[in-house]
This record gives sequence, structure tokens and C-alpha cells, in this order.
Amino acid sequence: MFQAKDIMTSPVISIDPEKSVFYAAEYMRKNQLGGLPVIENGNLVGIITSRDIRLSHPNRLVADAMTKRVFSCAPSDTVWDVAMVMDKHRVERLPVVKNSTVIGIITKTQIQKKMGQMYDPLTDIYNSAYIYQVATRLLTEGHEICVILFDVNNFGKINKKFGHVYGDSCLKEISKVLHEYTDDECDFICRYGGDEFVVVTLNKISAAKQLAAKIIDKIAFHTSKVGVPVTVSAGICGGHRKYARDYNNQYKVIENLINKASLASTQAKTLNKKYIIY
Amino acid sequence: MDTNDKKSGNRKANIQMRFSDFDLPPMQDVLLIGKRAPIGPEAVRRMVDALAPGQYEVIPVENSQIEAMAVKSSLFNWMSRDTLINTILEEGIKLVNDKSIIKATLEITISIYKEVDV
Repeated sequence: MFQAKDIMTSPVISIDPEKSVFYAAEYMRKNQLGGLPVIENGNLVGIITSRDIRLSHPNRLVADAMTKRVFSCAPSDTVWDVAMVMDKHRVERLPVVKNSTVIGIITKTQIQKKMGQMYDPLTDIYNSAYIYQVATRLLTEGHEICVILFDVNNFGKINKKFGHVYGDSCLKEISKVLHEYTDDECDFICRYGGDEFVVVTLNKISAAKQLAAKIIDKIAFHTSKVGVPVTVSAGICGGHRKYARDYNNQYKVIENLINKASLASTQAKTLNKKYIIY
Repeated sequence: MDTNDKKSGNRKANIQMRFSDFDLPPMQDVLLIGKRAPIGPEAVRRMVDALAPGQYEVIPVENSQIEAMAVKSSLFNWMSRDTLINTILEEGIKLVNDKSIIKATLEITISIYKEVDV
């Protein structure tokens, strides 16, 4: 659902390098496109964009006007990977290449739309779709990950007693704490759903435990300081599941880790503990 | 005399013809290609490959005005590659802007003075 192959435009409208820039401009106008992959003998040799066209004489060959250094992605790359490549190289479109053949193309607009679906406007952090993307990438890169799931204690009662606006304020404050006390380099946070927040961390389980304990304390302290006191429980799982390059396997591994962390947090609540390690 | 006769009676055409050999390819020893010229290095390469295969080399140039130059390969037999390229560029830059295509003829003369025992 969040791989390049799921969002790419296919089949691809492309152009031959021996066509003129004038022809390319007309072709792009007719097809309402801002860029075309340039394909010669079945191989991707460049990409011509409206910017290239603006800077080139209309008589020139596409081969002489195109951008020759083309960045591409694989069909199995995640939306997150694609966004990073686009951002790093400042490109607006990325051909999707499989076995040296262009099978699709992805534009920045498509990526932004998809990324928007991974964003939670209430708490100003990403949602569960994001955490699956990140965790998949980390597993692909061969990292071991730990999942910490934070669950607000008695959130239903808080909502009923003080109203949903109050409940929303609690969630916003929790996300602020998560932002402040996690490390962008190795911790990845999201609002998983409702009153649940997930941190995927590259830390080992012992460090993850310390991180969970610190965040639990900071949430209690910070929320009461700003007048919306809540406490959270946490479940921790992971540290031993490095995995396979297969996307479906990775997805199952992540689901499994999150599920176990969720069960652990429920158990922590039941046993009146701050956190439980599954 | 009707109107048509009047028209044809008053109009005459002179035709001048000059015949000469067509240069193949239609360039001389060197072609300097501006960055925004109507033809680019790839078009030149394809042209010389079709019209004079193996006789020209298209060399990319790192310059704000000139994108590339096509040089007759045999010129490199006369002097080192770097010397020739740098010399052409040094003078060419003064004449070229990014929209121009300039052709140039090079005459290379080697002067040798030798003393021998008699």
C-alpha cells in the first residue's frame, strides 16, 4: 500500500532522445505532464522536464537538453524512501525501474499526498502508517528495533469527565513530550491511534526500558504542570527480531512487535505498573 | 492585352548559380558549441558519426558559455591533446556566447631547424 509500485503512474509516457525539444514541449503540453523519462533502446538515459525545455533551444535534440543524471527507485521502495531520494536530490519526479526497464513514474505531488495520509493533524506527529514505513526501512537495512507502545490510563473516563477538548489537549501535550525526549536520529514516534503512541527505537531493550520510564515520568510531570494531568503505561517488545528482505515478512514482524507491545501495555495497566517488557 | 499578359510581360527573373563541393560534414576543423545553441553536442556527435565516422571527437567543456567542442581527430597527431584543446578554448571563449555555434579552421605548421654535419 505504501510502496512505489502502489502509487506510481503506469504505463509511462516517455520520449525518444532524438526528438526535438520543440516536439517534447508539445508532447508534454498535450499529455499535461511536467516531465518525461527519455528512453533509448529500452534503457532509461535521461529525463526531460519543463525546466530543461525552458533553458534549451527548441531545435535541440532531447538528448542535448535532458538531465542525464537520473535518479530512480525500485518498485518495492517505500514511500518514505522515495520521499527521501526526491528531497536529497531535489527532483520532482522519479522513474520506477525494474530490471533496467522503466515501469512507472512517481511525482512529488503523489508523494506529498501519500505522506499527508501519514500525518496526524491533532498531535502534529505522524500516524501508524508512518511507523510501519520507518520500521520496514529499518528492518530492510538490517537493524534490530524495539517498539514501545504508550497507552493513556483511563482516557475514556477522562474524556467523559472533562470532555473531548480536554482529552485532545492531553494528547497534544503527550506528543510534545515524545518530541522533546526522543532522539530524532534513533527514535521514531507516532500517534498509533486513539490514545496510543508508539516509539520505534534503534536502542537495545535495556536502553528502550530507560527511555520508556523517562517518558512516562515526563508525561506525568509535564501534563500536570500545564493543567491536563494524565499518566501513561507502556509495553515494550523487540530487540531480537532482525529480519528478512521480504516486505510481507517485515510487515508481519512489525505487526507482531506492535501487537505484543500493546498487550504488554494492557498488562502494565492491569498490574498497575509503569511498563512491562513482553 | 489582358491583365495576365501584362503581369507576365513586366516580371523577369535572373538566376545566378554557383556550384562548389559540399563540405562533409558541414564543419571544418573545430566546432565550438554554446550551452544554449540550437544544436547540442549529442546532435553534433550523431551528425559526425553519420557523415564522417571516426574523424571527429566531441569533447565536453567545463565553461559557462561553451558546452562542448568537436575537433578533427587528426589534429591530435600534431600536438598534445591538452595543448590543442586549451589553445582553442583560450581564443574561442573570446568569440563565443552561450547561443552561438562557431566553426574554426586550424592550420598547424611545424617549423624545424636542424644543423647537421657536412
